[in-house]
Amino acid sequence: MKRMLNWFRLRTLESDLDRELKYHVDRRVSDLIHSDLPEPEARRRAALELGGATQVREEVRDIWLTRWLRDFVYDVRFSARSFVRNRSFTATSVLSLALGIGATTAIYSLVDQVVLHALPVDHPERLVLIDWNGEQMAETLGTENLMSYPICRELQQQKELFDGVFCRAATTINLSTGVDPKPTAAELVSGTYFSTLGVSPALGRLLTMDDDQVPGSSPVVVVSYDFWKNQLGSAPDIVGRKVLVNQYPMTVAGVAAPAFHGIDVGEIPSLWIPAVMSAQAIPGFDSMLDHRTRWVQILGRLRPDVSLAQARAGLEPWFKALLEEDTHRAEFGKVNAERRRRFLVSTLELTPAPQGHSVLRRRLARPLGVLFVATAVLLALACLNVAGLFLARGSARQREIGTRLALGASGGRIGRQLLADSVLLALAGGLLGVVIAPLAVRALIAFLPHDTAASGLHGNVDTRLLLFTFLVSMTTGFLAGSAPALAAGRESLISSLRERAGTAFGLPLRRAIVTAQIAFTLILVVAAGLFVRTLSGLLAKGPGLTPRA
Amino acid sequence: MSSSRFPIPQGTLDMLILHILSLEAAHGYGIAQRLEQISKSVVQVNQGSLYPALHRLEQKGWLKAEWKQSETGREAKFYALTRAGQKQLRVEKDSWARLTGAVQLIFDEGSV
Repeated sequence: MKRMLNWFRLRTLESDLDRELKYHVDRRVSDLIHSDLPEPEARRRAALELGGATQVREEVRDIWLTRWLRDFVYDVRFSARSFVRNRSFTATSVLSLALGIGATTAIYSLVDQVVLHALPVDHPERLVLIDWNGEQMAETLGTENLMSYPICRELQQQKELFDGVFCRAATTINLSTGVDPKPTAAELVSGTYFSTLGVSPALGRLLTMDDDQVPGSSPVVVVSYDFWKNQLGSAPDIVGRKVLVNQYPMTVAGVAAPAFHGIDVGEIPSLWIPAVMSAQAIPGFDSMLDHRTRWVQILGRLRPDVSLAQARAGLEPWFKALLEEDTHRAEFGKVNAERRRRFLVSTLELTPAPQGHSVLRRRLARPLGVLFVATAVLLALACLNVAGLFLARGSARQREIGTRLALGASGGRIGRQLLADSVLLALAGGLLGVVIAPLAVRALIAFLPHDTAASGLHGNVDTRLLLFTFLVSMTTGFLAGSAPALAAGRESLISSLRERAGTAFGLPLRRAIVTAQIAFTLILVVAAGLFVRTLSGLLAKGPGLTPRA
Repeated sequence: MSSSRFPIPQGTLDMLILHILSLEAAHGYGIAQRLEQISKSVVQVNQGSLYPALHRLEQKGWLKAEWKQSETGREAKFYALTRAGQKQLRVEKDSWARLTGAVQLIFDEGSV
């Protein structure tokens, strides 16, 4: 730390040292003159005894600043100068690195948004997904983690474990706001949805428990901020306006907060409808209160003093009683003893869901992961390629390096110089990569069906992404530079001063690497294309519910 | 400089500087002279290595430096021991005593 500070007061330190040394020499000279030595001889002697003022100064400087730091600054300056002189080499390597880093950043950005990003709500870390584990003996309307609506209502009574429990189901409705009806993504939600998530209205009010009492009793909707802005022209008098949901008239109660896009990154709803209006929102659906129809996902917010395990254990007695009770219900029907036994050993599974629930996430986590690894391989190949270029340049620079070695530079010193070269290049590549990445992300998103995922995913660069890119660039720089640096370190003086025809890193090998890089890029482009098709396929599959015929 | 003088053993210069400064604060030239006098010209101190040593000790926080008027009337950089420096001197003297004692022990053993 002290040494870092020294860097900033270097000038003072230098003049101080000069004064100190001058004092020493002057005193010595005058003492020697006193002992009858002629002045020129005295001066010569004093300088000799000190062993050269320049050398002393150098040595003291090394104490002030770690030699490493000082050399590094010089190295970077030297590298920058040599890059400016050698334009084609610089352009090739920076471009190669920028492509690798840009692609990695772009994919990471998607991974971050789809898989890692927490919901923009209060304390997302306390959200849990509640799911049935075992035989549910129910008719399924949809895909994953579904349970019946009555279970959600019962869970809402578990107030000592949860601050709130809500359920939701994604669907698509025909919405008419005046002109032609358009298929629009919507979310059927319980009255606890907004209060549990802690979302506030931008206009009007949001849905409450009052909207979630008797089936068919609450024909109101809440629209998303984006929908209000883009489709309704930010109409200030939107609250109270009538819209038609599947030809059924409903009233707009309010507009949700701007940042809130629902809890599923793959299915961004434009409006929210109370679950009690499910018969109107899903044509032909009348099983809202049926215990044996699973169609909603249930999420809860744990109380701050309740752990996941405590909640799981706390729900156990209630759930066992519910299972027992269910078997006596009329809807349960006649089943054989084996299925009945399997039904009765079911448990409730709680999993943390800070990112909300998303079928998209579950399905894409793996392909995105694979794609991410693939881009990492691409980046590694870019590293190898640049390392190859460096080694080639290294052999062209043999004379320079040889001269430096002859002048007394250590192998490690030369190695560090080459490392500074590659780190500088990688940072330049990273900078360019950051410029490329948003374009790449936007291009990927552009392939997606418009009103769904596209509005939720974005190509913006945030600090997290910048940090990621910086780390990747640094790593890349070190990886690309380490081979040439080590090679230079090993180079003996004699062999480097001798003229040599071959290079340490043969041309065939470099060709092979470039070929591999191109091949891999091609594979990656194809994979990305397939990935986007999968994504659009998933999103285009329509409503999460299959209406009964 | 005659060749009959020992070059100062590696690592002992720091200890000698600390010792001299424990008696009183001094500037670089003063320390060099003192070293010559005390060692009765037996030990040869390379003056070139004196200043790096002083700055190293200052960096470690064992010495503190101050510009003061010297005996000739000119300003000189005076070094003095810090509390940490006094502690370090005790540690080094102690380990020196143990080392020389051990070496002596080995010599005595061999002569029996």
